Amino acid sequence: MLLRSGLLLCLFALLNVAHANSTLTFKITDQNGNALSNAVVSIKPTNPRHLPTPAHQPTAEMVQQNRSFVPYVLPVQVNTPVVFPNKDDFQHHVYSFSPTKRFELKLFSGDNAAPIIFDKKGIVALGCNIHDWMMSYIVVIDTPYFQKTSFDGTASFNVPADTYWVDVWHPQITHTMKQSVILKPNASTQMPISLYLNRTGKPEVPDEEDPFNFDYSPF
Amino acid sequence: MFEQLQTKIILVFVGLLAIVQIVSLVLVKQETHKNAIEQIEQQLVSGQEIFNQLIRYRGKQLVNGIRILASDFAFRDAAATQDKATILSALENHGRRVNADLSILISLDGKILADTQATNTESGSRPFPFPELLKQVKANHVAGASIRFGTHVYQFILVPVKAPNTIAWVGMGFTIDDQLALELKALTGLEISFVDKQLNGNRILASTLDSQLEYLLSFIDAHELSFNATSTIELGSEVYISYITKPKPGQRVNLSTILQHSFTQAIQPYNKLQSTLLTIYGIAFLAVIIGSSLLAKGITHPISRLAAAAKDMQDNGTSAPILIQQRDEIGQLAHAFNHMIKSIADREEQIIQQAYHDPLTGLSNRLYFNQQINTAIKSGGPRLVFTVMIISLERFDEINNTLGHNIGDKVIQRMSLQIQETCMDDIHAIARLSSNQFIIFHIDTHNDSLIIAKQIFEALEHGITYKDIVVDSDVHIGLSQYPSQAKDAKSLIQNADIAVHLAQQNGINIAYYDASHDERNTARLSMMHELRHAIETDELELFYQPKVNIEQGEITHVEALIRWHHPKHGFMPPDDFIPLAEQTGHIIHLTKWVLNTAIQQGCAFRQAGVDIKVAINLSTKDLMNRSFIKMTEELLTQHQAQADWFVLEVTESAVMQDDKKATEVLNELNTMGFDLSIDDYGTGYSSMSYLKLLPVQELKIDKSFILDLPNNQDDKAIVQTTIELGHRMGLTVIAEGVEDQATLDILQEMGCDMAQGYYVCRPANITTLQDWLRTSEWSPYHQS
Repeated sequence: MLLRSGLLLCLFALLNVAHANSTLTFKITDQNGNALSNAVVSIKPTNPRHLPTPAHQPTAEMVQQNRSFVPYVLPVQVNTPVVFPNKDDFQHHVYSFSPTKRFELKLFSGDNAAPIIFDKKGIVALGCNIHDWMMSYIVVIDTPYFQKTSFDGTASFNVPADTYWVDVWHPQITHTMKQSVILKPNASTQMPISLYLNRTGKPEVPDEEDPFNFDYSPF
Repeated sequence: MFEQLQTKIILVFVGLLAIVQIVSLVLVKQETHKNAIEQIEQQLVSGQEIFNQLIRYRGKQLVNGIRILASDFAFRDAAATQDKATILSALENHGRRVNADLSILISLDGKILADTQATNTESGSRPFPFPELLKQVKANHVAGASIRFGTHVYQFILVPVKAPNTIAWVGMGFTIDDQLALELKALTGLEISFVDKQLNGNRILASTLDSQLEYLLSFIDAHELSFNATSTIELGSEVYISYITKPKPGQRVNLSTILQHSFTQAIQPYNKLQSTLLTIYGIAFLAVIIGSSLLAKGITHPISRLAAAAKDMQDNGTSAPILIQQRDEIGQLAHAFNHMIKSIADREEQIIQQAYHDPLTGLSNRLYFNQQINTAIKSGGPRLVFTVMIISLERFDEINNTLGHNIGDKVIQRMSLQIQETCMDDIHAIARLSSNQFIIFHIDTHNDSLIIAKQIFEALEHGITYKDIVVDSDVHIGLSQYPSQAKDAKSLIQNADIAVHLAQQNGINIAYYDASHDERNTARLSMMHELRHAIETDELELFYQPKVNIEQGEITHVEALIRWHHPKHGFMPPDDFIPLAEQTGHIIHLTKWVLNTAIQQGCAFRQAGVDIKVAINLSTKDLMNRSFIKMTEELLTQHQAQADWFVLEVTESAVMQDDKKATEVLNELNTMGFDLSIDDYGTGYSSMSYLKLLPVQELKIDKSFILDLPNNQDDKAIVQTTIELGHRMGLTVIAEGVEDQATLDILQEMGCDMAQGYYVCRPANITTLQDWLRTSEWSPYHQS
């Protein structure tokens, strides 16, 4: 992953030589001003020339470890194959009912599962049929310019000047936030974005077995 | 009264029993009611617990069912594909597994994707009508509520369908219906009603009650009842103890559960017990009435007999002994009572003996005789005729005085026996009426009263013999007849007494009561009344008759004589009223008047310078009266008169009657300075020896010896002797009834000191006397 990012940065650096590149820095916060990690920011130039030609995408990994998916949010470019290595001692049953990519990896262990290629842009919610709380998202993006915010909620892009579509997604918002931004050559643009979180966050691995220990009487 | 005692005893027993019974009934009732209520309340508490657990269990069932559904891969798959048919069949299938009545799938945008209660036409994209539940489920991953969905109210659970992020919400519900209520009833034994409390009343969702009671329940205003506490609700004829749960706040349906138990039914067993108790009590009540009646009778019957005996005693003065065999207090009482009856009878006999009998003769006394007559009158009927006769022994006092009381008593006893011997077989009662009188009660069937009276008279005529003494008996018998002459004992005896007096006065042996005699008595009584009046109103006047001193030929004395000018009858002779006044006690007033007037006149003579003594006649009664002396002294003082200006004349018989007392009075008068004169000398016993003992200065020879003096040699002898005797004893002798010169001459010859009579002067009033005194040949006024 780091290796891949490094490669991309090298590529951008090369491109900047040819074009006057601009810097775009996002600061993603929630409605209370807290920095948001796990937000996926992707930008797409309106001029298709600024898009690099799609290349064979390297394989990405969605590990299952300690009854959790790692990472929680995995942004990938379209047509990226993702493998699902099971590092737990027991089997998992990974599935997705998301229209972007419906699949099911029935009870498997280790690296037995075949890689899944995500060929359509969209959000794929992953679950495990055995462990209901296990949850992760694969964000399939149709642009090479995307980043997942770190703990400080920032994401930075060095891209050619152009007008860009900006998509910001986070597991706790209902709809992907869409915006546009004009990046001037050799300019550095700060783009703070506040998201309204209205969904629950990453479910915790439960201590107890029964999540529905709900004592309900209407009387 | 004893019936009352019996009633009282019964009432006490029965009352006490009734109180005990009532109290125990009330206590039992209270206790059982309390127990019933407590039991019901306990049942309600435990029922409520069961109810809560059941509902919770159902909730869990729902939660479990929905959890299974929500996590079912295939269902999630279907939900994700939004394939309605698949979704619906999955909902139905899973719902059936937990017996859910409602399963519903809701899209993320709040629209109903499928529900098992909907008809085909309904299914579509209706919005789920409970947004607050969606909000809740978003926040808590689960939401529960009571909801009214369609026609039913459900216990409803809503959870998200996760794939793994929330892709929809699925809900499941159990209807709150009669089946639930019945199930709870089977578990708790309570009546269960589910109520949707609304502003305008209670909407009964389900109930185990009859539809009618259910209908009534819908009108109970739960606001008035306390929630989560027991209260009493009347439904129709039954009383229910109820527990009403408080609706959970913030719910669409104000769902309240009413748990009830019929109090009326709960006390059914007690009612049965009560009627059993009542039966037992009734029997006990009757038993006590009978028992206490018997007991009361056992007490009151002897007491009634005692009371009857006591009443008998009260009415008749005697009673038969009571036979009561009991050994208890009542027996003792009866014994004491019998003893008392006997004691009373004995004592009464004694008292009667004393009260009704004369101890001397053993005959009845006047009191008892009265009773006998009255009893005879009361029980005799209209044809009863009887006679009462009084046998009076005259001069009994003389017998006592001369022979002594001892002999007097014996004479009376003899007389009593003699009367009884004579007529005991013919008469009906005899009594001693007074010291010298016997009285006989004779029923006049054969009209023989007079014959009996004669027989008695004859038996007594020849005197009464005691030992060797024969006492002359002067007997008078008076008769009075019932009903012709009097109608009651008192009057009969009075009349017989009057008849005795009549006989005495007329000198006959036997006399019948004469009504006219009685009238005279009445006239006499009224005359006494008039006499008193006369004293007060000066109808009386003193006349004076001069006494001439024969030797001096001069008037030295005048005798005061009373005259009564009666306003109706004119002049009343003193003989007509003096004895009567003596008898009735009026003489004292008369004497006082006479003394007063005479003393006044005596003073008048002295003032006029005439030396005339006034002679005043005293009554026998005056000599018996101690206060007479005092009265005389007072009058003298009052008029400043001297006693030696007056002469007091007393009759010989007066002095003789009570010699001792009379002598005392006479001595005292003499000491005071009065001259004393014996009037009417010669008519009585004329005991010279006796006279000698008296302080007398003058002797007045009765006119019966004087009137015919010139012609009667005996009189001459008596008068001569009397004069001589009187002179020998140092007495002045006066003759009254001098009516001619011849008599006066003889008297002068015989040496008589004074003369009084018509020849000297008739009695005259003071005016006439004054004139006469001046003109008379014996005038005390010495003409110079």
